[in-house]
Amino acid sequence: MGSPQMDASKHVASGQPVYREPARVVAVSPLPGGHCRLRLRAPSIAAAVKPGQFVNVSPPLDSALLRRPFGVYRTFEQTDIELLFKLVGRGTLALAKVRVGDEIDIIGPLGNGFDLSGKLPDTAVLVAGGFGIAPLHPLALALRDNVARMFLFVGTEEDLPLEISDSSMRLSFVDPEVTVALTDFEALGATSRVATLRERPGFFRGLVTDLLEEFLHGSEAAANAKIYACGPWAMLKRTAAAAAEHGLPCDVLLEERMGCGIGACMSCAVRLKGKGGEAAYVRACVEGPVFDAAVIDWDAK
Amino acid sequence: MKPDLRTTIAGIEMASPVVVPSGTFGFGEDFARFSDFSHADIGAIFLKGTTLKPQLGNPPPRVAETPAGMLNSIGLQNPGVDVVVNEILPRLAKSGLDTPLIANVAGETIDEYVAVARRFSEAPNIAAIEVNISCPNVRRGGLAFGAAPEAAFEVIKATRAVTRLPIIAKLTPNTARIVQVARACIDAGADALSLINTLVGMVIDVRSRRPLLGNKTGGLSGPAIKPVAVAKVYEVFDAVGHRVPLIGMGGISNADDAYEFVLAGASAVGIGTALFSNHRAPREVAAGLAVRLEEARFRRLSDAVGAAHNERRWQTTDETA
Repeated sequence: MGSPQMDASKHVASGQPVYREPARVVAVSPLPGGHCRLRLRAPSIAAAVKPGQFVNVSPPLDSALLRRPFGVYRTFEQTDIELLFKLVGRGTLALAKVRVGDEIDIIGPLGNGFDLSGKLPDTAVLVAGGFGIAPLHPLALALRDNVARMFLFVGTEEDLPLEISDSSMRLSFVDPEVTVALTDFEALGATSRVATLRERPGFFRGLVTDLLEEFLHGSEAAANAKIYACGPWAMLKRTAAAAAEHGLPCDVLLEERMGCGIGACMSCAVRLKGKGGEAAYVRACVEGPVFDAAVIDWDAK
Repeated sequence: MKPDLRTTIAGIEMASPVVVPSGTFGFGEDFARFSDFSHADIGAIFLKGTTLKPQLGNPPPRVAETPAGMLNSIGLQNPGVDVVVNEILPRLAKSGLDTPLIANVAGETIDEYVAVARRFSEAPNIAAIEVNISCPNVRRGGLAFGAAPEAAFEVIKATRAVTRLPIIAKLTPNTARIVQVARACIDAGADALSLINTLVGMVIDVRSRRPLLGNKTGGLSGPAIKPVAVAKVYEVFDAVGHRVPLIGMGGISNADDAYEFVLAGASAVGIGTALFSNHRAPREVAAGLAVRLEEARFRRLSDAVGAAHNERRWQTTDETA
């Protein structure tokens, strides 16, 4: 008998319908350093999406075969959603070239999202690796009035391969864009800090997980904290280890390669440790993308 | 007059010739989450490949997009036939789903195929058994049975012996002997053939200098493989004609694609990879296919099946009008 996670029967829809919308581009801002902010009119999705859920976007003009998953960054008046992403390949490059008024085929809301039922922590610590910051914003919005303290730690280097040969990549990332993003978070009452690997005034020097460690060791607020993290696997793995070491709960939002995004193809498999040592793969698109960090087999990648 | 799209595959009457291939549609429930989804647009659902015991599946990454296609390497992850028969199928029955369900049976040994087929035969809502002798993503079984006619014959014959349900053999293009394999399956008692499964492929991540997929190789699907699939359907139809119906698949995303397969010899067509970006593809393809048939003055789908083989094909339209 398989572990419960493998039983497809457990996976059948949370009951939430998935909409397909021809989403009109309301605003698109290609950002320096190869990033993009894209606002889409998608009322059915915008009205239903919960923090941590994602949309699956067809890159325009048949530029790619499969849809591309994006965590929703912001919603506006239940009519628009905004995505914030880095240009990494065919799909994202094509998406950054759309114009206001264009229609983009998207489906959503998808995935489980953050569990905000039950008792929320006194202190919420949001940890982002690069543009893993995007899907944490709706979480911050939901937590704002329900937690005593909120911290945001952002690391900027890990997924910026070009920064070594071209420092302007890193600077443009840190300066205009993260600053804008941080402003969004600080408006929600989060105390934010940015970690960079290079010495820069006002920034923590090191990995964002070093920054997290320093906080967990040094701050009284850390005692009753819950950690919410999104970013590259290695960064999440270290975050999960830090949380475990301090006995703190930790939810991670995984960004996996996907096929269908709706649960049918089993492409976006995430390996769980399983109880009693019995491993299992679950789908990031249905059972995730948000997982309790303690159940993930972090050595699987 | 609107052409008649109904088709009969292995005794199963289908309202639409458009089916969803195994592995692209889970166990039939996921796509139902779409607010506008209707199973009525689908002629039959081929369920996810099922083995005797639960199968963990392959390590990720399991998917990579390639030019006009995708590689997948799921490794037959499934909860095992007991869970499918005892839990999933009853739930599908209770949901009122009346689209024919076709089980896809996989195994490492002939005994395993036989055991799974036997279990599915006890289920009230399975219309046929597709024998998967073509999965490229498992170390044993799968492809090993489908690449050689002798092995294919043995597994189909053994399965035939334990079930009254119609049997469909799913063929692989990863063999030079697809015609011989097709004949062997028919001789062993297969009532229909599905073709093609995916083509073995690999992507190497140039940054890590390692194969990108966790299982190193995967199965290529999508528009990139369509000409290969059309050629295989044409080749097999040429050899076996109307002995058994063919279910053609491989890169179909629109009505013209589907029409090509019909003309090559397919009595039904599968839409898989295209579903991932367009869940309405079955409906759109069926509607478009009806238009194409009408334009060519085919009164029914079956009149067009294999029409590309007609020697005087420039006259085909007039002859069938």
